[in-house]
Amino acid sequence: MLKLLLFLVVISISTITPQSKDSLYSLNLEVGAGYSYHLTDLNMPDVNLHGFNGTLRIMWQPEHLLRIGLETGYHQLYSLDKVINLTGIGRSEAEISMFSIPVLAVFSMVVFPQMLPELEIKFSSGVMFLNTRGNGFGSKASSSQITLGFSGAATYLRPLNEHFAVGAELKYYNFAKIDDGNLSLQFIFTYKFMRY
Amino acid sequence: MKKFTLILCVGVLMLLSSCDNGVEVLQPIVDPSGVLATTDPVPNKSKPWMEGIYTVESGSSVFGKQVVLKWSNDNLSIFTSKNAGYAVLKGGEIDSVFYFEGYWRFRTSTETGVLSLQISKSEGGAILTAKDSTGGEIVLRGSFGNGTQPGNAEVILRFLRPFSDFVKQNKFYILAHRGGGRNSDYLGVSENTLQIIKQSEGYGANGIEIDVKLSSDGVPFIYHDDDINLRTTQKGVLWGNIEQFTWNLISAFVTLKNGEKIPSLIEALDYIIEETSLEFIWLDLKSSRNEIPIVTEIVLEMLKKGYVKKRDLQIVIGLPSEDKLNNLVKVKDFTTIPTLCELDINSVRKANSKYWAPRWTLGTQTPIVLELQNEGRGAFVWTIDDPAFIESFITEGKFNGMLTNYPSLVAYYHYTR
Repeated sequence: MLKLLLFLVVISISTITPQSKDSLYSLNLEVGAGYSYHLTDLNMPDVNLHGFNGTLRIMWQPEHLLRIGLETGYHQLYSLDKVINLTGIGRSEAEISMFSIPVLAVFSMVVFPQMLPELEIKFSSGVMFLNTRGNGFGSKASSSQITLGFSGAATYLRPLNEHFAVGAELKYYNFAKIDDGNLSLQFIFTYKFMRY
Repeated sequence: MKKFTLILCVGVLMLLSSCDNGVEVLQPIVDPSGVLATTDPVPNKSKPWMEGIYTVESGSSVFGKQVVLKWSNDNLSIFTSKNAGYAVLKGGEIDSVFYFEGYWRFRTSTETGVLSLQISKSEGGAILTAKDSTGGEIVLRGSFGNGTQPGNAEVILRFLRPFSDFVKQNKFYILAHRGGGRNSDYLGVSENTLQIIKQSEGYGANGIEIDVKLSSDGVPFIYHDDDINLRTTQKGVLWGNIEQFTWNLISAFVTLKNGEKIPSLIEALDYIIEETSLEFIWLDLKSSRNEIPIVTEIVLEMLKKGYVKKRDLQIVIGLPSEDKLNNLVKVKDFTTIPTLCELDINSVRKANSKYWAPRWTLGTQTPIVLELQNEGRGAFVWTIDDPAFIESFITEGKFNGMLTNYPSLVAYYHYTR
């Protein structure tokens, strides 16, 4: 995962070019919600890989094509609900679920400013808090851990007026520690809450 | 700028191609329907006469110039100083001819291969099966190969001498790390499992060190790392700090790297008593909580069981930190609990530990080791893997045992003393 992350950083750096015309700076609040599918080679047929994915992002939009920001959110990664039979212990219904909360630095860029100014390509990297919850055999347990991770996304935003825009975002997340990915499709709403 | 980007891209591509994406060692498997199916088990009375030091007359590319032959239960092991190499063989006998089938392995690399040996009637077979045998000239002849294919490279091992009186009269504990080996040694079974414990004696160990954790509901189990991760486990649904889960959830949902389940401490100790001849168990306490009361209870129970089974077995609770020592002294009659202390000798005396275990980087510390031995205690050194240091600690030190990831290498240097 680190390898891909490094590769994407290089690609991002190599594509940065200055923009010649002046424009206003702004801070944008971006909120997204949608469907996610967990990408894993986990060999367990009963696992539910479908879930909800939410994003909260603050982006600094300068006069250049490159924008930077911070992102957090909530991702349901997978859940499992099945009856387990343990030798010597007996049967019990067991529920396991995992969700993550990312804290990522986001780099976003309008890659085709003339042809398709509404399209942004995003690359994010940072840490993700992975939370596992288990319930079975009469007791509950949970554990949290931090992993490095990154994401890549394509965002299409249609301005409604000077302040608001709506659109959609297709995003891939990678979680280094568990060597899994997550694909999400979100509805995105943005609000320019500060301009200077 | 373009040049810089190009250099950066090349660097990243080099990084991508340089990473290890996993190693698979194909351990040769002995065909049970082969020659051994037609033989009788090797008579127990013959085994001690085979043990000893052998000269390698042919096959030095794998076995070096000299090897050690040692039986452990039904396995005949060969130890060499070359690349911490060893061989594990199953044997059989028919009409005073001995057959051995198995594999060899360099522990410091992933090289392995099949190995077949034979003792003919005229080159030791008759001596070994004689009614009142006292040993004698034994020659093992055979072939070895690389990988899983049968080999045709010649190997000849000629008996040089039996083990010295020093080796026979002085107990030396060869303690295998993590039950017999780490996952990074690619042994085909996972560290800290019943399966690796079973194999540890074939690698030359007569004792093991295993890591003890505590589940959220207070069950001690065998596991090394703090978290459930891809180094130790197959991908599953439970992730995070393993001690935050109940034992039932761990049992149900965590599968170790090579498909095994995590054993509880009771299961592991019970297995050692019932299925192995191991003589020393070092429990390395790894819990973030106080596990000493429950581990003590289990150890005392298992020592009783071992005594009933007439097993020559010591189980000691490791004290790796001041915290664990402080937890120990809170237990009633703590001085009667069998412990091994990794701290200074004052702590050893405070805990009344049976054993002191300093880190190898502190040197042989012979005066202190002798002082403790005079007090009726023992001393182990940990964790030595470098061949030169293993040799020097064995020849110059006075330790009662050594913890290592390469038990075959320690066995070679010990038995050739």
